[in-house]
Amino acid sequence: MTSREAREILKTYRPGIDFHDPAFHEAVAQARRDPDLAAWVRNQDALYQGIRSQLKDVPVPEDLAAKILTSHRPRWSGREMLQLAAAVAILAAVAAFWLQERRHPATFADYRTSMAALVSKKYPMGLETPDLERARKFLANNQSPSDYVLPAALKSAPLLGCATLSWGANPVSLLCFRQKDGSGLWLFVTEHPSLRGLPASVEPEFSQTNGLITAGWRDGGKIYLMASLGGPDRLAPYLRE
Amino acid sequence: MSPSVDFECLVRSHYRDLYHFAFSLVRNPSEASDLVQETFHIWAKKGTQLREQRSAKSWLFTTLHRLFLQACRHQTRFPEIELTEAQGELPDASVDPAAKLDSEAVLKALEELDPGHRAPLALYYLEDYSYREIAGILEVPLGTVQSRISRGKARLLEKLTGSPGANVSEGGAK
Repeated sequence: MTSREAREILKTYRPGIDFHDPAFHEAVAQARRDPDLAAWVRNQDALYQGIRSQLKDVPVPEDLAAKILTSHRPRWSGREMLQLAAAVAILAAVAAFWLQERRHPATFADYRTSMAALVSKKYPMGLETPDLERARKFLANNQSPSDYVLPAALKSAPLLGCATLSWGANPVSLLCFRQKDGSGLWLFVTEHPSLRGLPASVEPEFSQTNGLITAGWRDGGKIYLMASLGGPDRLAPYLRE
Repeated sequence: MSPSVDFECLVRSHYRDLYHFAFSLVRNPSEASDLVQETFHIWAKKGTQLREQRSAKSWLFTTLHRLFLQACRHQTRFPEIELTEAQGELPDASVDPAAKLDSEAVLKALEELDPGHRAPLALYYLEDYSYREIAGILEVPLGTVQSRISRGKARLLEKLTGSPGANVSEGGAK
């Protein structure tokens, strides 16, 4: 191979990368024998390195990796989130009840306070649906009270969804409605005959709890607790039969 | 190792190299970012079966290049420019040509090449891939890659040095 032929071959040679490529072996050997060709190879390599470093010096957007990771971080599905949140809420309610039971027997006031506290913060919805029957089925499928009787006026309020809770060892169904002004309206249904201080009858008993107005009543073995922001006038329209 | 750790590790290991490759192809920061994000998006959807890091990197380059070609097909602003077969000799740089280079000039010269030559040349300069590996990534025969790099480099240097077929001033091999 002549130096001229070697030079043609070495025009695309990258000393640090193509050294083991047999296509260049003979030409590289020729460059070792020809100092001028060797100098030319060095010059070509300097040019290669210059272009390489210019291309590699292009600044990379600082937030690119974060963007990629954020948009593709494995996420909980909406359903999984709801289930997890519901489980956490149930555990929290169980823990709260257990701690209270150790101190003194549970009362309806305790239950009311716990439930009011629950909806005063962000809470998980087990099923988001405007369909009362779907909600009832969901609650039944989750061993939560489902044979409740809603006040007739309440049925006209838009349903947002429902959740299954537990207070002590007792399941509690939560139905979430939206009032005309957009605020929430909650109805808890449970069966807890051993609670002390239960409402005496179907007549609602009002109480201010945790900034909410609540109305509690008993009907057919079920204990109902309705809650809303504001005063008793906020609940009254929904309590009519 | 969980898939999520794999993904984060993969992103952090390769996003810069992919961005440089993408930028050398499109010379536009937002388009380059989009190409990189879309590449990882495709990986997240179906690339997780590749566990070997080196294979993964090649896969990412191949995917990004496919996306680039797809984009080219949808954009008329990338007309195919056939390089003449008779390129003659590669232009030789004169004294210390590297010192005269600037990033903008290199990228502009690269952009003026047609996409078929731009991609192999970008990999040739940016990565330590062999010719065979570049051929695998770009899904073209080895001979095609070799000729595209040779012609692409000739055209690039011609644009940078402005001297087609110039001789080496310090006495190149004759």
